[in-house]
Amino acid sequence: MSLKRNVGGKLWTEKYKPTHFLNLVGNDRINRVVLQWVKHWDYCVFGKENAAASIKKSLKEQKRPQTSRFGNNVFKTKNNENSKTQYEDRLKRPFKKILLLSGPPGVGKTTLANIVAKQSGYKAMEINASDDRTASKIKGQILAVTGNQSITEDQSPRLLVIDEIDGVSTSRSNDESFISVLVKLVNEDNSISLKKINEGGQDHEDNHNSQKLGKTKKKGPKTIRRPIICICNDLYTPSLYALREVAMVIQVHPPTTEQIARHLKYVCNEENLKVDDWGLTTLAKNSGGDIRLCLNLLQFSGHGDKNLSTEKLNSISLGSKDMQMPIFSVWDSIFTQPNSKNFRKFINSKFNRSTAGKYMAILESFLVNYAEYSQYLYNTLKNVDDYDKIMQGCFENYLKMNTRDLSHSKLSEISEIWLYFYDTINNFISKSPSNGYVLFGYLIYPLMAFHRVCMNPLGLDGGDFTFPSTDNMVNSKSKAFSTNAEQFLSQTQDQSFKARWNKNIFSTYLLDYILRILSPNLTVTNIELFNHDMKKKLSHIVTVMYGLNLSFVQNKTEEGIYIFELQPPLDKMTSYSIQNPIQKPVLKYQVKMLISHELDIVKMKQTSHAILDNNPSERPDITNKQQHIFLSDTRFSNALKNKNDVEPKEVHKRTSNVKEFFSTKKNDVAKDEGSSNLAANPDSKGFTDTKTSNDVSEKEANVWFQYNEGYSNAVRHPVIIRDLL
Amino acid sequence: MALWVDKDRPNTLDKLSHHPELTKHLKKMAITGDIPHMLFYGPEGAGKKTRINALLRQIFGPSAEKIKIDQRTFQTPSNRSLEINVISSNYHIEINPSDAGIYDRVVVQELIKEIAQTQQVNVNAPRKFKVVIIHEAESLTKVAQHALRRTMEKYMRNLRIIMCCSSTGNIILPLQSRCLLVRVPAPGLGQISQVLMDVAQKENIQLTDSVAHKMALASNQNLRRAILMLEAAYVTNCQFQENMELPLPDWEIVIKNLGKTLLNSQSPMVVMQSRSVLYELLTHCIPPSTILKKLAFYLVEHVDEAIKPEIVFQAAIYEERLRQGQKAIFHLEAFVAKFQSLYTRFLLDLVIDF
Repeated sequence: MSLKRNVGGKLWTEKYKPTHFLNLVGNDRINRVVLQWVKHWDYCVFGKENAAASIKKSLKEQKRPQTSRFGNNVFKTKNNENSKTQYEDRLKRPFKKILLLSGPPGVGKTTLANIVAKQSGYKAMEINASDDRTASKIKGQILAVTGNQSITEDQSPRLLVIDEIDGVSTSRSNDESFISVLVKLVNEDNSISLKKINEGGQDHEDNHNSQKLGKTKKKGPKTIRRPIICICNDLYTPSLYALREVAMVIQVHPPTTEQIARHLKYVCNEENLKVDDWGLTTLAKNSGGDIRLCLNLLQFSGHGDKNLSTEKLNSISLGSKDMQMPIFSVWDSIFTQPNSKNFRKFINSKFNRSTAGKYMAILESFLVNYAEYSQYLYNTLKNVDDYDKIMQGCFENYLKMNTRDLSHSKLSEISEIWLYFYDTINNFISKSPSNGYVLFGYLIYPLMAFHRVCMNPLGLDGGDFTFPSTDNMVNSKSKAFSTNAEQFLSQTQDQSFKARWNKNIFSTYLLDYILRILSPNLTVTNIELFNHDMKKKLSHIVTVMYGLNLSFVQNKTEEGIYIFELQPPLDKMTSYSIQNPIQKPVLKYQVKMLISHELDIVKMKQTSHAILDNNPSERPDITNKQQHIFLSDTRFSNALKNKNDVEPKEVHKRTSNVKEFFSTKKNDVAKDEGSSNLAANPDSKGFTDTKTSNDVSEKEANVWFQYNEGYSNAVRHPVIIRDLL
Repeated sequence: MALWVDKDRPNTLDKLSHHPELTKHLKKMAITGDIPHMLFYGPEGAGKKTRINALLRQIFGPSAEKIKIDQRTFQTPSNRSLEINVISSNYHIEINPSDAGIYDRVVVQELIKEIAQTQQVNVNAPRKFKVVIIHEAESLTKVAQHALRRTMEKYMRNLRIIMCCSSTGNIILPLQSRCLLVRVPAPGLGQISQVLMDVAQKENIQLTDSVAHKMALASNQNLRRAILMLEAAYVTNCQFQENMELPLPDWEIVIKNLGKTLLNSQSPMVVMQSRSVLYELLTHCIPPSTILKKLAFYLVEHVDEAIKPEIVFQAAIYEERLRQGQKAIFHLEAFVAKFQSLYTRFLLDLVIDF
């Protein structure tokens, strides 16, 4: 091992890459959980039994003190979970088929995946951003990895490591994106497993054997037979959303400063580099847990110089890198009180009334820490790119944070000074994109102010922090409202309506008053019983509705009740959900029906006028041939009653015809029923209609019956709609 | 048009009943056959647009009322195409720059220049010039206003511009100096009730003086709103009674409720609650400054004399901030918080004094 390492010209990061599970630096627990997950595939891949036992064994072989720590809580719970999943999956694979590792760069995620693969006897196969990662490609890869056996001497099965998965392109050029293929695979797999369970474990042996031989079933959708580990930096990238749902997510936290420092120390010893411990600790701290960065720095700053002092390390400006934190950690650091332990001590000392000197010392240390933390927070915020989102998050949650502000003067300071400051600057930046950026740096300070006022010892957990979504929601809702409003204003009959009423007037009072105008206090539902005033109101409403192009549309609710709904739904636009909804008069169904009916008449009147206006030359034609509207509807028979143009004499004259016709008709229908059973057919009505009209034309009668299975309620007569109106 | 506001809108200067002095001036001007550029300003519902239309009719005759709506497309500098509705007759054209947002400069430049550069070809036309009406001129950006300056002088031969806005505050001074400023104040209570009585007579309904007066009062001297209110009240009630309740828009009731909660208790939780109320109002497209104004006036009505001036002062500050910034909710909530802290302090002082 050491021989190999002495070869020069190699990056230290490569050179000192851990080669063994136990060499891994970092959170032991996470490493173990990952290993556990991979081991879980043993039954599926190698045909071994008890996965947990095999880990135990493999770890015991190492004869290292860590083994004694084995069997802690994590494992116990894991085991329980496993036993449950083993029931469900006949291949005894883990419940979640994909492992998703996330964490900041340089904490050793890729290394972890590779080592775990090696440890459990797989050959890791890596797909990273340098490869062609398209949907079709990944399909092939997965098949290749899970199905084929290597023909080289290395007989170990493959384990797929998909590195840098958050960088995968989400362009929708093809139908499927990389992620969706993965997710689909998993989902298919799940559904198959479910099916198989139902069928019973009959073909289990066969499968098992074929597994051993490295064959997959040719037919049917594929199951995942090899572990897949995905690695990403930012777990909350939108493109990973779907994958997050189906994968087992493990967040790899950066190792502690001490751990890194220890590792660095080891490397320095190997390289004969003399660095004092404090220097290494500072370096580790500045790097934010990025081991790769530390090693690179050590290697190149120490070139030719075998003695690195703390000052020198500190002086290297490369020392601290720009770190972009996930957005939740940014919020967390804003709302976290620096070094809460110290603060608690400080509070305690206050209560204990200990000596003034001690009190001062603690206070001092607290202040020092505070200054340091502010600097840290400042640096963090400097590297954030979406201030708007961060601000929105702070704004929506700052009142919920558990702050010690009894007089509320601090909170009002936030809203009075800092939010105003932020908004002004932000507005300036967005209004003048060319030179607004000079103020960009100032956006940090309002956030710092939030920290100063709203910090609490528990960070985000101190309050009930939620992801800011209200603002977006409000924006989209109000946009929807204004488009609705504009649509309404522009669809009215009068073209200049929109010119006279703008959106603001509409939302502030026009909408409310229109709705009130549309809800008259009509209690009587029969038009015959209306007095003069009511009639006037009714006609007024109808003209308003016609002018504004509103209508009542009959709809069926889920309960099967018919209701009339205003179209466009203006009434829905005013609804306020908050606190005691305002009582509004609701129109009765019958009244709505009445209005709707009257409105139809007005509309017809207008259209027929329009037709006549448009082609005056065709007027005689219309009267002769077309526009024979058959008034079978009750509402028109109503209208017919009102303005009866039919001469009673004529009707009387034709009654004889009708009788005669009725009898012939009956015969006809009887014939029809006998031949083609049309009576049961819904079309039969139309058929009889044409039939009747034919009959009528033969007899040249103007009144006829519609014979409808022995029941008829209307005498038919050609009427020109113009005469009715 | 079906609504009374539209139906009974006076279409000639003679029919305009309120502000007779102003009408007289406009009439004199119209008779001479030439008008300068004009800037009408005054609160909403004072009858600015009606007056402008009546003036146009006086100048161009009834054919000025035959209007059509076109959709015009403009190309913005950033190559986005922009569609705005243009209302026009043979003699005039109406635009609303707020449709164009920050690209109104393009609209002003292209559309107005196009009109300005084409001469009136119709020999029978009563006047040689065309009129461009700019509604909501206060929403014109500064760039667009500067673009107007030269156009207004250069094409004086073919073009008159009539701007219509609620306050001259946002109109740059050079533009104001090029226009004849016409202030249309809100009609007085008497004038409004007179108009209401006229409408009632036209529609053949019974309306007593006192009810009309009450409506005028409730409408905030907004004529349009008063007439709508009359119509709504007529439809929903059998008869006009002296003590009947006048229909108020829902959002005003919501704000009143909000004001009540603010007066009742003060805590961050109340601020949270009021935030959701404010958000809801914003989703209904109630302009933020209107919300602030209404709330402030409600609060002022219901607090002690001693802190009234302070509240009005603060409301003014936050209204300015609303205009400076873009996140209305920040400032509305800040006002709520500020009021709370003011009010709490006031209450505490009261306790200490006793």
